[in-house]
Amino acid sequence: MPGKSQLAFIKIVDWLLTGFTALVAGYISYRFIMLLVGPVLGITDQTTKLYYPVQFHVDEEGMALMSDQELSVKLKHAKAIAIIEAPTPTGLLVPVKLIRYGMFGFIIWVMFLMRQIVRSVGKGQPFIPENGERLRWIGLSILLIIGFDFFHDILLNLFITPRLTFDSIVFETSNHFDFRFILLGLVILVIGEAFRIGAEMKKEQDLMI
Amino acid sequence: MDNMKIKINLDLMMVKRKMPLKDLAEKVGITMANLSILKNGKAKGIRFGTLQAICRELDCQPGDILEYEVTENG
Repeated sequence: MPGKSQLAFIKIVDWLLTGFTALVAGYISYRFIMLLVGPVLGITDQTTKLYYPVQFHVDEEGMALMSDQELSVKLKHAKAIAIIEAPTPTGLLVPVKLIRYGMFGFIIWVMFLMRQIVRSVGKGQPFIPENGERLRWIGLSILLIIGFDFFHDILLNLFITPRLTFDSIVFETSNHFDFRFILLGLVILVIGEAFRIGAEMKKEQDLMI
Repeated sequence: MDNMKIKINLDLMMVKRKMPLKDLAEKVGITMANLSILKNGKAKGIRFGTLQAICRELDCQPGDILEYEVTENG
């Protein structure tokens, strides 16, 4: 069993996770209701902004002062957040928003699983096969979140980026695919599987009298 | 494979030797919970050390405690 100070730490982590999960769930529910009563059902004139990351080429030159030395710096590539104020076509807004809420749904799921793991640590029994399963779900959820994000970017790049007209800015339709998160998801999957096998072995060992 | 199993006759030997579970657990040096798991046939295995201690305390042979049993399917 964990000591007094460890138990207090576990309790704080548990509260933080619960609080964060509740905050995210509350925020997403609120956004969903706003989307429903505003652009979808038209009950109120509430609008929902659509924002997404964009990339574009720039060609600027500047200076950087480093150790009393002036260095020439060139800006070649930039990232920004595009905000479409209103009214965004509902046919585009709703799928994009649902994908985004889906992503948050998986984030809440990951938080919930992490809370379960933390609670099992509090009980002094972290090495149980269920935690292996939970880690596996966390890994899979991270991969799914990346998949949702990728799909979200593709959808917007396909429908909005070609229609953006800004003077002297040429937008790229490439998406923001971060391989580090894929690696993180895969690593957690592997750890989860190793954990599950280890916990099964421990269970067997515990039944060896 | 499922119709073959090792039956544990520990309870029978304990009755024969008139030894309660608590006493045997103390003498063998394992917890009552673990001895109970063994007695009820829930254990996955038994260490030679444990078997040796049980045989010593109950004054019996391993064959008196363990029995190979083939049951019919169905």
